[in-house]
Amino acid sequence: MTVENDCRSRQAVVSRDRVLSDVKRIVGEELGIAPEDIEETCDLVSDLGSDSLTLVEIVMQIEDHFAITVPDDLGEKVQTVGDVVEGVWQLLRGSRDD
Amino acid sequence: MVTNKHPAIDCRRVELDGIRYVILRETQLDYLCREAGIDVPGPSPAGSPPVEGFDLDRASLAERLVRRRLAAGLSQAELARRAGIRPETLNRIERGRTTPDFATVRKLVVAINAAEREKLAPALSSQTRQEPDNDGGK
Repeated sequence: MTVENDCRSRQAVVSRDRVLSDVKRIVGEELGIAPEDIEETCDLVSDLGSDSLTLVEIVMQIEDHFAITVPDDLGEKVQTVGDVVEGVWQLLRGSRDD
Repeated sequence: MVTNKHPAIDCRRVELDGIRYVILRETQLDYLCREAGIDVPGPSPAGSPPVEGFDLDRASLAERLVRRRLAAGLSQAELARRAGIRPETLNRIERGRTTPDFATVRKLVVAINAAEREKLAPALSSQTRQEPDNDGGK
């Protein structure tokens, strides 16, 4: 399928740094924070002032952006920006290796 | 005219069980206390609610969920039906009585987004879509 091929080629060129900067941008836009003020260690709720509704919205934006599906059990576990980056990175690598 | 040298206070007002609360960032509370010359309340241990029985995240979620549901023109029963959750569950979430899991919040967000798109659909069908989202919030 063309859509699938399209996603794969796109995922193949995405580096972890790129995932990190895109995640920071999306999180920053959702929470009204400058991306440069966001660190991987930042807790989305206690450091960045997110709530569980915003957290879900962030995950949904990220799914759209990277053309991935984040399983609910992974979404449930996410606490820091680094958790999001790692999850996305694993999902991108996993779907590429399939 | 007062010179505005103070940072803007970004807070949310919520009502839970008839009691009004204000949610604001801890750093802003600390700032206000310092300016007012009152003792800064001690930091709450990480992961536990600052006041017993009161969960900031739950309150914030409840308040924003109600606002978004109303903006989408949905009743509580209608949103529950669309999201495929029990009306009593949604009622408890909106009253800040329970913390929904990720999957439940996602169902609610998806249902609200779909309702918002339906609301916009008549306006969009007559002309080409320009601004996809100009939703609330200043």
